Amino acid sequence: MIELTDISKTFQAGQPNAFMALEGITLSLPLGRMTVFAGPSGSGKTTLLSIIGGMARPTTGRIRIGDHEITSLPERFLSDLRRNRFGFIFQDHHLIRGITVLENVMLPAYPLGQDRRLLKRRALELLAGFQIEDKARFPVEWLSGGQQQRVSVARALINNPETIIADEPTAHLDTDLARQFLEIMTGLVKGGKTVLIGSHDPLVFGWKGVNRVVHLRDGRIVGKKMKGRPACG
Amino acid sequence: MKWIQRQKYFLDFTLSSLLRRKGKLLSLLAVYTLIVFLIGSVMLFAGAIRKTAVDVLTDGPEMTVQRIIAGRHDFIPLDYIESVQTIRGVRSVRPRLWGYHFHPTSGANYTLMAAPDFEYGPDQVIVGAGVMRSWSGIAKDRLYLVGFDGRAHLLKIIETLDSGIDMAAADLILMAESTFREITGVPEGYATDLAVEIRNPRECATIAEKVVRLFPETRPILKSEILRTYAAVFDWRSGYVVVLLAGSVLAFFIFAWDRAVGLSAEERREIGVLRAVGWGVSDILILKWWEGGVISLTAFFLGMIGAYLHVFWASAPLFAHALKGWAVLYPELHLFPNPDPYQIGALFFLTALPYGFVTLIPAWKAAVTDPVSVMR
Repeated sequence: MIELTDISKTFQAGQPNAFMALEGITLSLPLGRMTVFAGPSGSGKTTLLSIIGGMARPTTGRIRIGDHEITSLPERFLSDLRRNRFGFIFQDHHLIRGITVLENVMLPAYPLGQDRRLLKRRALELLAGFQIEDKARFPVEWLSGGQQQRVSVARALINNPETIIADEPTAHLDTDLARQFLEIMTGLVKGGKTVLIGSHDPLVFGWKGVNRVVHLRDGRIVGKKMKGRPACG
Repeated sequence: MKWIQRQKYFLDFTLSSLLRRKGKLLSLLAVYTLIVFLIGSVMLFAGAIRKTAVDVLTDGPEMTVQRIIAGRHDFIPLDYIESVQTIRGVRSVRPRLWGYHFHPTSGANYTLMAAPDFEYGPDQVIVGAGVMRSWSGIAKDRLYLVGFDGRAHLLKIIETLDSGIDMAAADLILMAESTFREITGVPEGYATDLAVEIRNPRECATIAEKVVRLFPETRPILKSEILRTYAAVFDWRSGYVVVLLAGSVLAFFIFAWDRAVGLSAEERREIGVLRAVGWGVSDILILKWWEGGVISLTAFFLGMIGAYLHVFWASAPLFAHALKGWAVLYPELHLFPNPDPYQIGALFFLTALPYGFVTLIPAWKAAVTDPVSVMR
């Protein structure tokens, strides 16, 4: 279980242009489920996902992942946390141009110093799982948007994390590619992963594999809905 | 093992990062290599010329005795030889006849010397390679020298000395003793100085004292003093050139700083991505450390190889005139490598380490980039 207790985040705190991106978020996220944070731009989805993923710290509140309280962890432990427990999929894929698809997938594992042969095999297996094994030696910029999306999913999975965090993953995909992506995410949940998606795309929060939708607006939760159940405040 | 594998991954990624930014890499590498090349050339040249000077003087006498009158060098009577010879520890004393001759047409000073066992005739000479190069009036292997009394002497060049000994003999004109005295006016019974061979070089100072006690108007010059003077002269010259190059070194560090600090938006984004996917600040620093290491080591080795070829293969055309310092006659030197590991190490630490430091701070600043920036 990932538990958020009274999370708030203020940017430029104490200055005239201070901005509160999140306010009083308290939430329990069950593991092994797909949760979507839905809401318009500026509603706080990205900030919330960043805080859950250990990329940013909340101004107030606490986060617990299982038995571990991560809010006050030093930076190097947060790096370990990001590397081992989370896999990230970004809106713009954020792949490194100029290096191969295979190197991009292997990148998060470099600091672990694993055996190169094993790491390469695992990366190729992941690429094969997404039907892009034949593109492994290509520079990543040669791939189409949908293929790049799959490379970024493979990169997110290379360290076998428990949780996948995806921020607006369908923003640059057409409907077919978006469905393919969501099928992949559904497959991951079936395989025991936790998937957290931030999106304002109705296709995403209406997706059959989504277990829960949390609606955000102006940095606050305005609705939580377990799929197949009525919304609750 | 894991540590080594980690470093290999970082090095791999560093190399691919550098190759992706060829423009930045090549400009930095070119300037860096040039700096190492310039300073390395001066250093290697000064070291080699010092070694050449030492080699030339190795065969010279342990002590030279000159006569000083009113603070000026004067001819020494040959009678002194017998007395110096009796000093315990002296192996032999040999009078030397030499002097300078200014030739107005070529604008050069030549060294005239009487060879002890000159096997050719009184109107014949052996000359150094520099004489042949500089004396524009040589016709049919003949030299015209105007003597001290205004009389012209026509001398035939019988032999030219090998340019391999140019350092010592570029400006040399060797002749018979009688010819020398006739041209220079050095009277019979006198020599320019005395070359003293000593059995045990450690006794030089004691023997020099005894010579001065016997003949207070003489000045004994030890070989070690000449070597020290040579070393000082070449060190001074190379130091002068290095000071001139200091401006370039400073300009390089400003350039390197600018290049290293000026991370492009693409590089910042990359660092953000790496941080977001789980690389720690220390991982980014190691990456940047490798990047600095690859650039500085490559530039250092390229620069030193270039300097080596410049000095020992091409005879240092860029610095030879400034460092050799002859007025007109530049000897054709074929220098032999005499690299000093201490100096090479010092050059490495003076170029590679400061570069590492100037790039470390901006690398750290980049490494602490908030990874959340890539989410936006």
